[in-house]
Amino acid sequence: MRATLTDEQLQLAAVAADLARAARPDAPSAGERLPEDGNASDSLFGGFAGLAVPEEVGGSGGGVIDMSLVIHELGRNLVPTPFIEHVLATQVALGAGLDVSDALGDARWTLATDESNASALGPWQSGADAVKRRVAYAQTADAVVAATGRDGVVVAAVENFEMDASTDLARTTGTVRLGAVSQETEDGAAAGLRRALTLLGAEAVGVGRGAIELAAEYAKQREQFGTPIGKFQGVAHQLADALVAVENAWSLVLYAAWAVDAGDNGATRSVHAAKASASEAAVFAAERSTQVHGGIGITWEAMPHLYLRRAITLATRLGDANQHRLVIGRSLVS
Amino acid sequence: MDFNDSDEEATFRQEVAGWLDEALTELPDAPPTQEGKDDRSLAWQRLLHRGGWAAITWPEKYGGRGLTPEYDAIFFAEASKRNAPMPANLLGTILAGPTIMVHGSEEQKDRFLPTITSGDEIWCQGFSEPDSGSDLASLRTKATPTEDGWILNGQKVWNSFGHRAQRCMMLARTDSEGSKHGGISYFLASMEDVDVRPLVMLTGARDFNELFLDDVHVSRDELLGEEGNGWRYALTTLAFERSSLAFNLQVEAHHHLAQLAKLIRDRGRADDPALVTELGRLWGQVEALRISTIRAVSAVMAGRAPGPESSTAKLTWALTMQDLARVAIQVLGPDLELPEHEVWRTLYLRARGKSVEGGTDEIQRSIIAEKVLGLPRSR
Repeated sequence: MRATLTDEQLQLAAVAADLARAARPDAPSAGERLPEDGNASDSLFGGFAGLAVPEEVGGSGGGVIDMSLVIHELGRNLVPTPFIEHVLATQVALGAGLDVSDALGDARWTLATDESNASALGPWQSGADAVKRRVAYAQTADAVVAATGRDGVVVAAVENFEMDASTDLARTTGTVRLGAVSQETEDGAAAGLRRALTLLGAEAVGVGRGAIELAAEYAKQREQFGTPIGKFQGVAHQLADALVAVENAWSLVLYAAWAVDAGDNGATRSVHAAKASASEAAVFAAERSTQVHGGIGITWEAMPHLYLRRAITLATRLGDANQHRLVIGRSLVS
Repeated sequence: MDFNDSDEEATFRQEVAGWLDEALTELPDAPPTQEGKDDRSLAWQRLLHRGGWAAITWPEKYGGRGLTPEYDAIFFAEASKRNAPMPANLLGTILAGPTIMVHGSEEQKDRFLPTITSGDEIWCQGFSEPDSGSDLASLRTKATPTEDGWILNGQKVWNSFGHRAQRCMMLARTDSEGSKHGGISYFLASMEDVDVRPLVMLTGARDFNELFLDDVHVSRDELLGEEGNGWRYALTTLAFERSSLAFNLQVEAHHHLAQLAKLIRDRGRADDPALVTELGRLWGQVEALRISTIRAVSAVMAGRAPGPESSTAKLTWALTMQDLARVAIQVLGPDLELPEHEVWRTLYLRARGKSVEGGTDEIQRSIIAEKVLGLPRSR
C-alpha cells in the first residue's frame, strides 16, 4: 500500500488551490447573487478541461483522482464557475464510452440528471421525455449530457430553456428542452455516473472543509467574555466534529477515485459511500460554521450561508445520503 | 496512490496467513475464565516469539524483523481475521519496548527488550490515578530518593494486565516543587512488591486493576532517561499507543459489521429500509477508518508528517463501535438475553469504554481543535 498522493498530484493540488483562493468570491451584497468569475473560468477551462480524459482521446491524461484534487479546491473556495458542471458532464459521457472531444474545445457542457430517480447507478426511470429540469448553467450550455432509459446516455443540443430559481447563489439552473442528439448509447450511464458521483463527493468535501476553515478563522478573531470564542469547548468541539466528518469523507472520496481509476470491483460501493459521506459532512460542516458565526451567520452579506446553500444543493444531487446508504446496506444483507 | 498490496506485501501476507493457520492449531482452547483467557494469551505470545513474529517492526538485534509499519498492519489484519487472541505482551511490544528504544540507555535496551518478545516479562502501564485521568500530568504518586534509587508511594488505576505483569511503565513525581509537567519521572518498575487489586469492569471482565504502591523500591538503573523528563517520555508512549492501536481497531470494526449484517439477515429485518440504511452508513464509517489508517501509515513511510486523518481515527472508531453495538442491541430486542447473543451485550457495554480509554472523546476533540484547526487551548 502506498496510499499517498504523488509529488505531481501534490503539485497539481497546490496549483488548483492557488487558483481557487484567488477566485474566491467576496460575500455578495444584500439580495445579490454571485456572478461567474470569467477569469477563473478561462483558466480552468484552458488548463484543466483535459484532466481525467485519456490522452488517446485528446485529453491530458490523469484520472478521476487528479480531477478530484482540483474540484476539491474549487468547492473549498466556492469558485463561481460552470467548470465543475462541465467536468461532470464530460466525465459521464466519457465513462459511458462517448466522444468528448467537443468538450475539450470551446464548447461548454452541462449535466442533466433525472430527478424522478435521483438515486444514481440504478435503473433510470426517465423515458423519452426531452424536458430536463434543474439543469445547471442552462443558459450558457452548448450541449447537455443526460441519462435516459435504463442505463443510457445522450449528448444533445439545447433547443430552448427557461431559468429556474436557484438556492445556490453561484450556480444557476434552468429547465431545458433537449434538441438534436449528437451521440447516444444504451448502456454506460452507471459507469459514467460513478465518475460524476466521485467528483461531486470531492466538491462536497471541499465545501465542508472551506466552511470549517472560515469558522475557525472567525473563532480566533471574534472575542466575547474577554477571549476568542474558539477557546470555548462548546464552539471548538463543533468544528472538531465537523473536521472528523470531512476527513473521513475525504478518505472515502480518495479511495473511490482510486477504485474507479483502477477498475476495482469494489468501486461502486465505495462511490456510494463517498457521495453519502461527503454530502452529509458538507451539510454538517456548513451548519456548524453558520452556528459558530452567530448573528453574522444568518446575514446575506457574509460567507457562511454561501457554504450552506452549496452544501444543501449538493447533498441531493445524484441521490441523497440515505439513498446511497440504502443501496450499500442492501448489498450487505442480500 | 495505490491501495493494493505491493508484490512484497502480498508475498508477506501469504507467508503470514500460512504461519497463522498452522500456529493457531497449536493453541489450546481456553476455559471461559479470566485465568484461562490470560493463559491462552501467554501461550500465544510464546508461539509468536518462536515463529519470530512477536515484534515485526523491531530491529533484528532485539528480536524483530526490522520491517516498516505496514507489515504490522498486515499481520494484525490476518491475525484478527482468524480471531487470534491478543498476545500477552502487547503493551510491552507496542508501548514499553518502543519507548525504551527511543529514550533508554544501551544497557536498558539490552536488559529489557529481549524479555519482552519472549513474554518472560509481561508489561503493564502505571499512568492514570484516581485523581489524574485526562489531567494525567497532575499525578501524585511520589518517588522519594533513597541511597540507591527511590521508593514509590501512591496509587494507579485503570491498569490492564497488572495481575499478570512483571514490569510496569510507572510514572511518579520526583519533584513536587516546580511545574507539574517538570516533576515527573518514568520508571521501568518491577511489579514484585506492587499490590494488585482487580476492578470488575461493567462487562464482568476482570483484566482491569488498581495498583497500590507502598514503599515500592526502584533502583537507579530502572529510571528511564533523566529524572524530571518523564512527561516527555510519557508522550512518546502515548503517541505509540495512538498509532499502533489504529490497525487493530479497524479490523475489529469490520468483523463486527459483518456480524451485524448477518444478524439483520438472520432475524428477518433485511426489508427494513431504515435499519438497512443505517447498516450502509456504518459500512461507510468502517471503510473510512480503514482507509484513514492506511493513509496515515503510508504518510509516515513516505517520510511525510501524518495529516489530520491520523487525529480523527480514534474518535471515529469509538463512535462507530458504539453505534454498531447499539444497533445490534436494537435488532435483538428481548432476545438479547439468549446466551448466544451475550457477545453483543458485552460488546455494547465494553464499547462505552472506547470513548474514554486512550484519551477521552472530549480530549480528542480538543486536540483536533488545537492542533489541526489552530484554535486556542481551552485547558
